[in-house]
Amino acid sequence: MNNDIALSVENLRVVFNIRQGIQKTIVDDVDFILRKGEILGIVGESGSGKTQTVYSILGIHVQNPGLVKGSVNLLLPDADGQEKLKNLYETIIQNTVKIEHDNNKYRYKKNFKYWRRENKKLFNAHTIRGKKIFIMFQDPKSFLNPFWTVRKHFYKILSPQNNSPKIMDKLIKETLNKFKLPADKVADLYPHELSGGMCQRVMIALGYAVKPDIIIADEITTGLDLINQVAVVKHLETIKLEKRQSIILISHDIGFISKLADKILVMYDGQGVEYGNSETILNPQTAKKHPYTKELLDIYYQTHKDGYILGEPPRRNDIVEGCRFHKRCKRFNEGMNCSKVAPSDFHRLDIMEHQIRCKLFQNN
Amino acid sequence: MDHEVILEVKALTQYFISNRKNTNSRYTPFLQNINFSVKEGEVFGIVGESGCGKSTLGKYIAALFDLYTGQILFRGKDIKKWLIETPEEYRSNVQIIFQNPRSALNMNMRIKDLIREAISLKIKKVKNQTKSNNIDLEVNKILKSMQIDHKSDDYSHQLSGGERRRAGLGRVLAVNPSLIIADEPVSSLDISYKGLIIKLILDYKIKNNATIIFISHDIHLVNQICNRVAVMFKGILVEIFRPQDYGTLEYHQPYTKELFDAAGFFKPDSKGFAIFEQLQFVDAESTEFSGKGCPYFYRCKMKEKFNTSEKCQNIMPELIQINQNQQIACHAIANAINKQNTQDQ
Repeated sequence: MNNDIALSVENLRVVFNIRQGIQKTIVDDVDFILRKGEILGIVGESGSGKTQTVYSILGIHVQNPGLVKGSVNLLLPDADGQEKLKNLYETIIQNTVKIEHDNNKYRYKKNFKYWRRENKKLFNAHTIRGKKIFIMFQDPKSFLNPFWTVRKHFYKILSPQNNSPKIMDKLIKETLNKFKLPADKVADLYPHELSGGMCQRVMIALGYAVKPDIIIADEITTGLDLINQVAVVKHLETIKLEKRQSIILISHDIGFISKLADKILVMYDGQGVEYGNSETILNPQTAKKHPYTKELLDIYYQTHKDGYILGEPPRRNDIVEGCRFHKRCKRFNEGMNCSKVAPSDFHRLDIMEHQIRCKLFQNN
Repeated sequence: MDHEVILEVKALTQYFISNRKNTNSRYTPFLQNINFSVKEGEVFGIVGESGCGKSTLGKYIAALFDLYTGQILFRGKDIKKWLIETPEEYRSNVQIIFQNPRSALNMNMRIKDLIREAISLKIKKVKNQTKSNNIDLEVNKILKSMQIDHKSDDYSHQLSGGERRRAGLGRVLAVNPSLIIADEPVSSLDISYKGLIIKLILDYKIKNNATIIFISHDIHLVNQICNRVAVMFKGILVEIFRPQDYGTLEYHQPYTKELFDAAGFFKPDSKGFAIFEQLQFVDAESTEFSGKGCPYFYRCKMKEKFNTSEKCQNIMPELIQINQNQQIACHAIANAINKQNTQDQ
């Protein structure tokens, strides 16, 4: 059973210093398992911690995290050549970089630099980033280097010292053609000469050519028009059918996720609220469903009464006591102390790994 | 029910002048020969891919630019005349909701002051009717209807994305406009939040019998709320029809078909991957457009079917009335209809 797991994340917790002395857990207790050749979709509103979850897998936070805790297990080859799950954070947890908020700006900066340096050293970043795990960012134009042509991107990323230029050219042509890009024209263009949809397809082609174990696609369809969105789905489908790479899809669009994902994780304000097979989660008739998931699905199937979820979405600086969704919840129940005591861990409902974080289903 | 025509656009055309030497002509068109009319109390949608000129068209109607050939008539009067004679009246009748609320709100003013400023424009319109005491009441009324009364003393950067949008919307509705141009009012908003903005706009529309021009690339939304929709491609209108009729009509411009099929793909009851075969993906060739002929020429399959390749490459198609509710700009379809008519005779 364990052999087909490519990545497992357990009890991941990321804490940020948001104001002087006040900390917020941006990612709180997130668990999921990614199997080989499987696609995991992460759905949630903006600010729900989807991107931060993925950033902490790679250790590439833009801001200084106060604390990163938990375990991220990745399939890595041993010294003997056998593949085993290894905890990337093992070493980090031992030296947990606790950065107390400090009024002295100099120390604050120094701490961040220290964190970055330690992170790089312990993480063996160069062996993982871009090789084992490949990430596609939200804005394709800022992902590609504006001074490099498309061909140079391939050269830089594929370590061409192993291949002759002839083989490299053939490889570039094949991969570009696979994603419906005319290779003779596109290969020598700079990113600013490409349209948004073409940039996105170049990015997918790069991800395909590197042959990583895991591809992370962070909101890659936002800002594209519909026809290009469908094209992106098609190209990800070709990767999926080969069953070599696992993909983590991040989006706030259920329509996009539902076309590809095998497993779905729904996130709300930093917590995973529901996790399971896409059929059980997307099926509106499933009896046991987190109230937030239910409202999202009602909007998607256009059966929602109001067309929107009442109340304000959580903001960055708000710290909500108890269940984080209780202010907007339709099945809010004072008797269960929803507003004071948070529901405990993910509650596993059945053998199919369907998990819900809600008090309604925990007592049964 | 016969509605009055509130807005009419006649042969609106505008070019960029480029300095490139190797192109066929120095003039790059971004709006070409645009003709349509909007009836009072209607929700008129404009859809198309990014960069096709839909926002620019909205800005022309809101009279933010004044250099163009052709005519824009509001209530039967040219807007150039409106702007010379009674500019304030035109501005308070026609309002635009901007795409980016962050840059549309003055960051040095509190939210209540922003709305007060808009109301003072309305008071100029009907002189001596409202006194300064009543302004406060009216400001509060609008803040309450937009559900941002708890934020009235804040500045725009302190609001969240959705609140900022509602503040911008409140500013627009405070003037009591009869024509609202909504330029992507819900793009980049969360799913759980989109519905609220749409509901606020539509509530105002029903209450005041206002007309709305809804510019968007979200085709599900346009399907739900628009009475008629215009499809735009590279600066020309290729089709005007009722979105409820999609699927029942005999003819569609091929680009419309591509766009609406792609939209259907993400719906819960879609046909799935079968749609892929009908879609052609944009490649480098199709991005070149000489300014002559049909802009969809390179991607079109119809031209071979109906033997109109030469015509399509050289002559720009114009909108032809096909039904009572449908207009299409396509040589191949015009050809097919002509053939049918001659056979009938």
